[in-house]
Amino acid sequence: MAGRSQLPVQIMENQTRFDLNAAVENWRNELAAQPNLASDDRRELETHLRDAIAGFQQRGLNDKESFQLAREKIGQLQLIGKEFKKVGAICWNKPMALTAWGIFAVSLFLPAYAAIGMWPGYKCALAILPWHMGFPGKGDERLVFINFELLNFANLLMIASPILLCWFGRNARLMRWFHYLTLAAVISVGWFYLDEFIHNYGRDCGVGCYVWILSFVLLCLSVLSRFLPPQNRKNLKRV
Amino acid sequence: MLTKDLVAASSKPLLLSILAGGESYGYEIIQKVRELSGGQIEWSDGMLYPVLHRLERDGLIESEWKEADTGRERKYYFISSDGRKALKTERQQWLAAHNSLCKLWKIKPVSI
Repeated sequence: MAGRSQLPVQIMENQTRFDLNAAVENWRNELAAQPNLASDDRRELETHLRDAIAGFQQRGLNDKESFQLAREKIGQLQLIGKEFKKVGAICWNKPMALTAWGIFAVSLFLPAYAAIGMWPGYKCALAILPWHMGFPGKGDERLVFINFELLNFANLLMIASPILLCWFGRNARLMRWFHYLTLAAVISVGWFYLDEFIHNYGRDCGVGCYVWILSFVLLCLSVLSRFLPPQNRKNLKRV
Repeated sequence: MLTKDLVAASSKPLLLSILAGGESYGYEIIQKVRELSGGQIEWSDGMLYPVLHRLERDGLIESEWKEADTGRERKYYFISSDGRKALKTERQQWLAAHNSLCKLWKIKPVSI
């Protein structure tokens, strides 16, 4: 009889037993719903929650009490999200930069200049390379009229940017220099194309040029998005 | 308990000073501040991270995910050389304010 009378109590205990993992999972979902938090921020906050839970458990509190206190200590997630938004820790816009690199790669294989029989961009770059290396006799003379120093500066930036951004994207000091470099590239390439269009009305430019310009503008925007005020950045995904 | 404004103003020198003593992570920093202030400075734990990220954005601290002894990965923060310079300036300014008040209240000031 005694065993039969305890059975409903045991069932009730099992039903009301606190599931710490499920509670953390719910909290994590709540955290994921905050628009201003990057995955790295969420991971960091979750680590904090788990540390705090462990701290309370060590003091003898049960799972439920530990979780509730830790959650309380962390504070309201909406307020934290708002604070993160104010910080505006965007160093660059990753999806935009990825698109830019993709378009850049395509542009290298599209016809670039009418003056040299609409060669693809990569062929133009290779043909002019000996001039830059100090061997003027080896290159294609038809390309010398183009101010390739400026263009190659931008090309170098396009090629080096994935490495710079992926490795140093969160290093504020290096990113500051990268922003200056991007600004310099924007000014020089802008000047180059403006000059080109004023004098030749863009007649020499093939579709490769326009696609290349698009990729360059996108990359610059992705890097310089850091300079936008927070209210203009709210739709940009943080990385 | 310190007022909200004073807590906010002192967060930068506090964090830089803690990290000048060695790398640390969010939970440990919170515990340290609580212990140092004897409960006078109460930060909402979650609010610490935007402050840390702001210092990182400004180049005063740097961060790195590392595996702790417990096997759990944590984001460790450490002070940069710019951070050390900023801390020096902060120290001078806080001591200047502190000493002015000490003179007014006739308490022995500290050397800057």
